[in-house]
Amino acid sequence: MDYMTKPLSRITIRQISKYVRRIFGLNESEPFPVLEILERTCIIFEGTEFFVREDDELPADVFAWCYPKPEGGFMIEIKQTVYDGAYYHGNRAFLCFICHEICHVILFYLGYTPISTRTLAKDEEIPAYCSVEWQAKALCGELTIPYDATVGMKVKAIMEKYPVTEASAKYRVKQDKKKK
Amino acid sequence: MTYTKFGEFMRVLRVQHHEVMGDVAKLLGVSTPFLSAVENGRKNVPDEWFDTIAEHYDLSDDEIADMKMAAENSRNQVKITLSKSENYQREAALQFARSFEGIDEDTAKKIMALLKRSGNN
Repeated sequence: MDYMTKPLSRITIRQISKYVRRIFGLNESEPFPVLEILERTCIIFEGTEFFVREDDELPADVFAWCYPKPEGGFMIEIKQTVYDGAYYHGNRAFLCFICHEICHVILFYLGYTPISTRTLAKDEEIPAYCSVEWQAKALCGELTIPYDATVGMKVKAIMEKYPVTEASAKYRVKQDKKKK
Repeated sequence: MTYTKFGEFMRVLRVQHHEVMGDVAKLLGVSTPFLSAVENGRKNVPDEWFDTIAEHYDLSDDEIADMKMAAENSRNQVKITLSKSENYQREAALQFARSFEGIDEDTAKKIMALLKRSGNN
């Protein structure tokens, strides 16, 4: 489910990603160690926790999700298949799912909270830059493939340096082509 | 549901040693959901974990004591051995166990204070 929030451009998200890297003590080009960051997110963002759930404890169509706790902070729940796939096999899509949930926590703390919880009408669409889901997806992309460090890189080179999916690497390369 | 003292203790250890939950689950020979359930207070900390954790992280005596205290504070179940108890003692113990869930925190604290004062805790 998606929600509307304050507008945030891709350029601003790129800037935010640099600060987020600094918060976690990472330089601007090293890979984003998602599972370590997951642990540290719970220390840096007070009240935030994560819980690896048996697969049948979450709905079939959910890999991981994140919700605000009534007492403050967030709970990130992750299916065992997703966590273990990321941990034991370095599954790139699963790492991305977990990073996406971390991004929700970060953006929420920065004030990009849902401003309307009403259900959207069928033909109504949230503009991408106002969408909680788009913003988290964009931040996840910027964190896992740092923009400045990957200018001019090919898909294969990006995938060799960063544990991201081919689709993400292709999207990053496309951004370079758009700029030309 | 909230993170327990033991969960916090383990998370800090992991971050200090650049490890993640998967590393600890592997170390202890349990699944990640089981470890997660322990850290989130759904399950008690198995006693046999203490030595493994202490050895792996090279914990000092003080740190081991802190870990055990954190585990104790995180308990959500207690075992009472009743095999040598008289019938009336068993009944009283089970009565307490049955009524425990309905008591709010404030009332529980007052009862604990009274028990302490009477020397019967």
